[in-house]
This record gives sequence, C-alpha cells and structure tokens, in this order.
Amino acid sequence: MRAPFQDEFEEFVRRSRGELLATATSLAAGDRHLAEDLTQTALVRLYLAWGRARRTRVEAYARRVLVNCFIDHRRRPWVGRERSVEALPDAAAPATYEDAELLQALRDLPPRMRAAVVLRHVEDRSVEDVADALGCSTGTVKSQTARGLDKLRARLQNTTLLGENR
Amino acid sequence: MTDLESRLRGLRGTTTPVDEDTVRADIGRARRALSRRRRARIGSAAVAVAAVGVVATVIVAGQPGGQGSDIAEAPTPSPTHAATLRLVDYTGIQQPGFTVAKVPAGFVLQGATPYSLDVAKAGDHSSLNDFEGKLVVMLQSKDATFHKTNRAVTVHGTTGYLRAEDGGATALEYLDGDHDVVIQAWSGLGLTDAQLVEFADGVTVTSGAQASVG
Repeated sequence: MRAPFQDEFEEFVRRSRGELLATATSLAAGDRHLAEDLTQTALVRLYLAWGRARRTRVEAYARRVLVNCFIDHRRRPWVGRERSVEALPDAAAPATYEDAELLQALRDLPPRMRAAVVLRHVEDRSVEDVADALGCSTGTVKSQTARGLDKLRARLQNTTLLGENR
Repeated sequence: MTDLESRLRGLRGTTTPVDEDTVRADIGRARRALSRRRRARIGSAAVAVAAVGVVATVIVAGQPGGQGSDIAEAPTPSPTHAATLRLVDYTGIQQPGFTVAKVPAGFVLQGATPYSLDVAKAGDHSSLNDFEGKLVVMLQSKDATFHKTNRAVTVHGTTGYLRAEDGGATALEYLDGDHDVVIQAWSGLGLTDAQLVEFADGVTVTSGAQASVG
C-alpha cells in the first residue's frame, strides 16, 4: 500500500474506530472483549481491501466487513489469537449495558438475525443500510428483524414468567 | 415505538475518542497482515515457477540430444503445492482428547487444553492458545454448524471439507462418529492438502475431547 493510502486509512481509524467498536459491542451483545477482537479483525480486513474500500462509502463498507467478521466468528471454531496487554484497549463508553435480560435474549438469536436486529433497532440504521451490511434484500431484513423481535419478546416473556413463579 | 424497541435502543453505547496508541496498534496489525499475504503470494509464485521449471526441463531432456535419463529421474513436484514437510509415524506419548498416528517430521505434541491438541515444531514454547505455525486438532464449537465447502475430501471414510481461514491457515472439518472435528494447519507449514487429510486419517477422538463454546 502506498503512503497516501496509509494516511487515509489512519485517518479512517481515528474517525471511525469508536463507532465500529460500539457497533461491535452491540453485535457481541455486550461482550466487550469479543467486540474489541471483532473490531481489530475488521480493521485488518479493511486495510487489506483498502484499494477497493476507499472507492466506496468507506463507513458502509467497514460496517459490512464487521458484520461478516461477527458472522464468521460465530461459525468458526475457537482460534486463539488473543495477546495479553497491560491496559484495556480503547472501548465503547462504559456501559449503558444494564439490561442484562435483554442482552441474554439477544445472545440466543442466530447470528444473522441478531445482526439485523442490532443494526436496525439498536443502531437505528435504515432498512436499506442494514440490507447493504448483511448483503441481502430489504425484504429479508424486514422478515429477519420481525422474527427477531418476536423471538426476543417470547424470550423476555418467558423470563418474566419464570421470575414470577419464584 | 414499542417497549422492546425502546429497550433495544437503550443498548447503544456511546463512542469515545480513539487514542494514538490504539491507532498505531491497528495500523501495525494491518501492515503485518499485508506482509504475510505478500509473502504467501511470493511463496506460491515461487512454487509455480519451480514447477514450470521442472516441467520445462523434462521437456527439454526428452528432446534428441537432451539429458534424458538424468533429468527424468528427478523427483516430480505436486502440480499445485510442493510439500516441504513429510509425515512420519508418531510413537511418543499421547495427550488427552485426541491421539495421532502421524506428525510432520520434526514436530511433537506440544500439549493439549481441554479443547485442542497442539502439534508444533520441537522447541516451540508458545502458548497452547497461540496456533501460529502449528497443526491444531479440535472439536467444532458447540455454537457452530458443520461447514461445507466446495473442497470436499475423504477422511476416515467420510466426506470432509477443506477451507481457507483468516491469515492463510487451512482448516479441514469432518464428522467422526458424533464428533465434528476441525484440524487447522497454519499457513507456511508446507503441508499439502493431501498430507493434511493423511494426518487427519491418523487422528482419533478420545473421551477427553471437549468442544468449545462461542
């Protein structure tokens, strides 16, 4: 990669890493270590494809890469790439993640459905943006999010009922 | 907006500025990945050039006046990847979880965790969770499904599937009874696909093997 491209990539990391990490944290249902891992992997893949990515809407391209990293991660056997560091890497702001019940319900969704729900309802992306990130039609996004919300409601209702029985 | 949608919206974390150390670490990782990819491409190109060279030499040797008998006895590389490792019988102590019948020459069973068996070069003292430069045997994660690709092979008399992993590693996944087994060979090891299958044919899953989660 030539130096000017690298400058562009660095600028992109400064500008967009926090946003990517926040999205990754939502995709990972609050698992910040996994979110950091997904973000790092996505940035590496983005760098390797920077020649193509820079000619597109880079933020959208990066979001697509991140979603693919998340789906791949869920499909793949565990691969040890972690390295210990003294301090925690930069992370999304400490959490507003207090809704443990909802996070657990999110974790139970299949990866593509979880990604659709997260991008549409946590990130508040348009149906078209979500379709672009998932590489599917807007109809699929609508059906995935609708089914995802139904599953979440059912799961949360069950949890509440179980709680009441105790 | 429903109550559920409001709760989902509440999960969104805020973003914080990125510090320069983090940016430098990201750039460093990315550049190293690019270097690895370039090295891999150069390595593949060199193998291809070598194969072309051998073929050309054999053709020339077959011509009148060529050095037929000498050249024809030269070893012929595999058409795609020349093996730089050979598999040898393994007679050492086995580890819990998986047993092996063969290992690449110069490799040993470095150790095992409840989830994986690491086969590494003798003297490799890296973490068992670091798979770089190793052959690793594990069970597919409980959360993942069997992963078919268009690179089908026969392993243990059944169909297994090869696939490329991030960083250039090759993974072979197959079913052994109730077990969904994955064997990963790090890029640059020099194992051909056929050798990876041969290695897999010598792997036995024992009762100590556990699938990871996630």
